[in-house]
Amino acid sequence: MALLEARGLVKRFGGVTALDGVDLDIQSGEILGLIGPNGSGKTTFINVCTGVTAPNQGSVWFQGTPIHDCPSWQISRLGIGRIFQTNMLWPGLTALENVMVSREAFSRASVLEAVVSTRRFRGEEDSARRKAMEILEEVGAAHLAGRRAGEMSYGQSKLVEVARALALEPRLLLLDEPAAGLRSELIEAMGALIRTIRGRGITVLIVEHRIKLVMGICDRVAVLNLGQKIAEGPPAQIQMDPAVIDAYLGEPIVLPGEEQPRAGVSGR
Amino acid sequence: MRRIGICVFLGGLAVVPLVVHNAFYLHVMNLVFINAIVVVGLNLATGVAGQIVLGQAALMGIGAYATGVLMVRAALPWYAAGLLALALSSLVGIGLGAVSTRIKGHYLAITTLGFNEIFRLITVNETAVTGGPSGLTGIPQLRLPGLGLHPDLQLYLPLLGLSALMTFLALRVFRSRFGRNFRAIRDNEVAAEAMGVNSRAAKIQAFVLCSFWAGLGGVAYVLLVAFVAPNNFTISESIRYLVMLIIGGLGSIPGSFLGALVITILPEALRAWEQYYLFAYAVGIIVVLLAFPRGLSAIADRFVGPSMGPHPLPAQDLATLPGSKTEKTLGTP
Repeated sequence: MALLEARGLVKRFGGVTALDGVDLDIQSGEILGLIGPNGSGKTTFINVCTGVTAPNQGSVWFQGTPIHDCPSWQISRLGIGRIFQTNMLWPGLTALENVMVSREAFSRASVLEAVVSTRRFRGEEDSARRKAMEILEEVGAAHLAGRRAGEMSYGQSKLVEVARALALEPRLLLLDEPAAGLRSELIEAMGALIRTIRGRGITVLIVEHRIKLVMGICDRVAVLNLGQKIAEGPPAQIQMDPAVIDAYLGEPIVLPGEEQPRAGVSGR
Repeated sequence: MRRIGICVFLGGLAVVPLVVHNAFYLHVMNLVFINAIVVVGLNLATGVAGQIVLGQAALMGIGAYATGVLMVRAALPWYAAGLLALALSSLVGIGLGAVSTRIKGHYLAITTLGFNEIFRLITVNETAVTGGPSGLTGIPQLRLPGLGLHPDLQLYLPLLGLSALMTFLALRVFRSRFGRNFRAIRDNEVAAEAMGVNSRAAKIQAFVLCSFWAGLGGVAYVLLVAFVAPNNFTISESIRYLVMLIIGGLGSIPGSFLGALVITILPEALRAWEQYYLFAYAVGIIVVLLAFPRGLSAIADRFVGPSMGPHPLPAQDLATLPGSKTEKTLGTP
């Protein structure tokens, strides 16, 4: 059984059909790439899987549980973490506080216990802080702990967003363009981080336009176009797929002085 | 250093009755402490959780009226009436919180405004219970004879202590996971939900805290003045609490205390200017906002620390690690 099974997902926004009957399985332990042109439904797919938008038709099952009717906060507690395409950190909170919010699911103390500061409450706060610090160290952002998210660079906030999702201790991590807007050496570092995350037993879905990164780290790649899945398979096979080349990758181009045709459109 | 600052500030307020013998001045200071409790509560819902409340005076009025009515009509002692009034305020908070999960932004502001007007109409018309437009009279005044000769002197230190305590407790909530959840739903509710924060529950918590603090202010008010009337809890009073909140700095708990101090004292201090006083009051507020765009929190945060929760790392560690340099090591195991 796949970790996450999406069946016949349809999502319409007015006259636009963002998802048009998408079936997709995410296998436990893999890194699955989800690519496609802008507006092909990639982000909508992630939003449906995390309860941000409800599908018009179809179902999503996570570890055998139907989640397409669940509110977002419950889905995250079942074990699905995500990062957003745009910076969605809470600007008024420090990096450490941002990550600590994700420890919500692991705390039990009531508001009253917080007001009178019971031993249980203080213990939970301490362990949340320790765990959040640990995760910031793991992603290499410990030095940002005390900084407000509103005062961080784009790359720094991407890192903290990853840390914030990891603090949920998810089984499945959905990454919406983790490398967008990053310098090339940081893209490689992000790729290495994603591999490390998978090495810890977390399944990863990555939506990304940087084809080199996707083909480099993914076990399988699925391609969306106009809300429909047009291909699915290992990276090498996807790069050669005529439908994918036609819809998204473009013809391999041969520059003068180069013997090998480049895979895909350079720079993407 | 910060502790010393807070101690000097509170100590300074504590010795005021030794220097000032004018009962009216002490009465104004008592109103400062009561307003501080109400504004700190408003800050938890509006400044910290981002839920605009324009009915804070009504929430305070519920605490005040419930206490007064229970003391007059049921002859309960002040502490029993006060506790029941706080329970009622919290229940109303649950109801308002449940409403706020369905109504957002400006619509919520209008709804709470309507709530305030409903409260006023009930207090004006239910004469048999509330005493009607002329107010509820015959409330026994709280007397603490050991602390001075007249009620304003007797209640000065207890009210100062209570307002300091409630400010401290609100700061504790602010720094706890509940405060983080509140700020997270204020900054970005979609992201908060995606990280496991139940925003419905968080909003209800914020409203309960807000109305508990307001209700407590109301209980203290009725015990101090032994009288309540509908005019004490009108929409314009709610807006005055909002002014205190904004002058103090949205989201800054200690700032709210200063906001209450300035906005309660300023009109009384300018009263001598007669017809020019409203003009001077308005200019004063504008000058404060121009000089301190974040309100008086710029001053308050110096005493109590930035309103962001504890910093895990010493400042010099942060300074020696510029982000761009260390960022390159991203992900290397």
